[in-house]
Amino acid sequence: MNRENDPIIGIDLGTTNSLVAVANEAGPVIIRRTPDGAEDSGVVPSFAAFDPATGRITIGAEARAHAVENPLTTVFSIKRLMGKGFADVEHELRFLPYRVVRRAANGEGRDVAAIQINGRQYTPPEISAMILRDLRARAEVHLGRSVRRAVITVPAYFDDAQRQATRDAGRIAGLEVLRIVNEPTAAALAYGLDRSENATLAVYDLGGGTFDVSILGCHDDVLEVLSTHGDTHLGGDDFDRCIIQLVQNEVGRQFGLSIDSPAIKQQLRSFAENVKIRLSELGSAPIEIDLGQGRVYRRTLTRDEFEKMIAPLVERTVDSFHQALADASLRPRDIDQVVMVGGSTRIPLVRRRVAEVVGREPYTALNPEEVVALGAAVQASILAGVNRDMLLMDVTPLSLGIETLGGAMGKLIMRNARIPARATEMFTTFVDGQTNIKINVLQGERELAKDCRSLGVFELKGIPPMPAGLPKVHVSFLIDQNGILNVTAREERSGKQASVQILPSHGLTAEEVRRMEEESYTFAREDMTAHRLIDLRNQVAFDTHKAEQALAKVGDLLEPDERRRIEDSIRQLRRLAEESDDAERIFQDLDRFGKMTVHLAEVAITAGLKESRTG
Amino acid sequence: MTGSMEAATPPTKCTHCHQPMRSPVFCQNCRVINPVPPDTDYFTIFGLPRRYQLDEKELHKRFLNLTRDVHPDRFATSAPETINVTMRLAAQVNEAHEVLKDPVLRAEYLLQQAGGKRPSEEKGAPGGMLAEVMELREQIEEAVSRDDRTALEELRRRVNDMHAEVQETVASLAEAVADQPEAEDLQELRAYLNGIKYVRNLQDLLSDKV
Repeated sequence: MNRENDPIIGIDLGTTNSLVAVANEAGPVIIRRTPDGAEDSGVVPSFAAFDPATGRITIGAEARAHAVENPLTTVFSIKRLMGKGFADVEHELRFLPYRVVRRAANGEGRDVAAIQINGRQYTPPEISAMILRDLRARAEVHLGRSVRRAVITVPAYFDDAQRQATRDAGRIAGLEVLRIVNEPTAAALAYGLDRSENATLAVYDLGGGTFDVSILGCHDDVLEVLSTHGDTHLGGDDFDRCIIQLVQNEVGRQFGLSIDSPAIKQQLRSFAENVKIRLSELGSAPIEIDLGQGRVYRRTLTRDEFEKMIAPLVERTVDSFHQALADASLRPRDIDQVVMVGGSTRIPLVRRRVAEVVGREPYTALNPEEVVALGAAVQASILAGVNRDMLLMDVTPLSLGIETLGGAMGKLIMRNARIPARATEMFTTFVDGQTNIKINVLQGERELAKDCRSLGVFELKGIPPMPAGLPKVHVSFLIDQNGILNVTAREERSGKQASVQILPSHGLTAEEVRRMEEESYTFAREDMTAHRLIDLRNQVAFDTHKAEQALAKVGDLLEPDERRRIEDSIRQLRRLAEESDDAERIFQDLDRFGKMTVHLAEVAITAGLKESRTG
Repeated sequence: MTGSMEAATPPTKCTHCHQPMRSPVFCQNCRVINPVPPDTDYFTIFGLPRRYQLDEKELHKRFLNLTRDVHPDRFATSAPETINVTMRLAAQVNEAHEVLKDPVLRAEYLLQQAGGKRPSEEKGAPGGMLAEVMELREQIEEAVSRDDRTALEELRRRVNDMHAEVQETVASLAEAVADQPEAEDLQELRAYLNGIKYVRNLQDLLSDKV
């Protein structure tokens, strides 16, 4: 199949909701169709539910509906666990009804969080892949063709491990992730469609679980990110938790009850979310919870009370905003426009504080929940070459460095450096005949290595044995346009390429991803058949059309009998492709048709050559 | 990260169409990418003269133009090798821009190119500067403990004046070093570049406290 014409979809893989969009020359649109072909809002709750009895996996709204009934086997907010170790997320487990464990069968020093369901462990990329597969199926139904390539958005403040985990999820879902794009930047791209002049833009993106702020300069067709800041663990979920905690505390005090069974936790969660949403519209919301045995917890939560609870969290976003401005060497009044992205920017306190910071009303012309997916689709069209009037230049959110002697962080690439970004560093050996060197690669702004995040241990192998200190190993660090690190090494004296083996601290090895991809194929055999059918039907349409064209041109050069046989086969093959779901049979008939038309193709080519020589 | 002086001078004419090029990395005429050695001179990449004085707007314009042509997103559906080449080239362009746009990094770059010492090899600041910085630091801390706003404002003015002065000296020394490096200029520039860091620390201290 022609790779050039293969569609590229844009995916917003959110903490609470996910969306898929696609763009053509006319611009981007959200896909509002379920994999079954029904119309819907296009918003897919980022839930995956495993039926305890049958093991059947459901995604989206259907999965969310299972949450209260089957709290232990319904996974949500998986984005918070992407690229994380068990130790990183331990403190928030009390908010998650499902079971999070340290992944078994890990290498030395590695720590990957996993989810235990029905006796099987799933890594966060595997769960995310299930959501991605659903989004992919939606796009395929909408486009009527198979989809293999995608642009996926991540919070700008995601570190290398979180970005890799997202790319791994795509791979497991059978998608080639052409680009990881930062969410605020994607949003700016979507707005860029009706941008008119050179301006300085701030994007304030407060989603379900993450917060980003980015400062951008627009120069005609180029969108240049100047700085970014954020918090990958701050969002609407945390506002819900304020309400949950309030209720838990008060129920404990009034009734001496502790309400933390998985089912109640799940119920409280959706309940708290509703209260939060109502408080964006109204000054107060009633809360009433039946605790059984005639005990009822009742109170009214006012917007004031709610704002007091979440104020410290909102102030953290304001601090980030100021930091991003300082990093871009700008003052608040230099910002021409603030774009609000993410469902949590509907909260009045959030809007008020942002307006106070920049001294102007924030801009919300596009639906804050859809704008990231739309931007992802725009980026996809840029990559496909459909859209050549726009270009995005992004930055890396965190400094990259290595652990130096004495446990310090030696910075190589500074935060907010334009990406792709590069740095080289020279390493040598300490022992005679030493053939490998281990480097601990770090991300973060702190002085000490132990306070930064370790991306993993990079082991340089295959250094020719020499006396200590003699080898000169040049290591190149390259942060690519996705914000993902690539490392290569070369020994200067021998000119030998040293191999770099990476043991990611909180991620999967290439081998593990490959295995999961294979496993997911077995899980999704039905999906596969569906894909194969779409592909085969396209191929039938293409091949029969080509044969018809050839017949029209050189048909009279064939024996009448041969011509008739081909014409019959075209009709039969088309009918089969239309009516049958038997992929194997279509494949075989298509194959036979190919062989049968070899002669026709040759005649057509020869005629074409003659024509070009004489013409 | 230093470019060696004997690095091959990149072509000023396109290797494909032989037309003159504004930047050695991309031919505007035949729209072909010319990968250059990884240590190519930063000024050369933008087709700018090797001088300290630089029109920052012009640099940014050239940076945007070059990025438009060599950014890997323009080649997303090309062969992996092409993507790899453009990725490395774009990283090189970004690095050159990052250094040239910052006056201190630009001076440091010119110093290294002229064979000057690195900050780790020569840590001394210009005579008298260290004493002055230390005195100012004491005064700032004292004013903070007294919460004396007026004194802090006055100190901020003094530190900013000092910064401007040092920056001016750095500028004239860097210009000399770019033109015809004398051993004396190299040493002095090293000292002033070390010194400006102390002054910047004072500025940071003031912005934290006020």
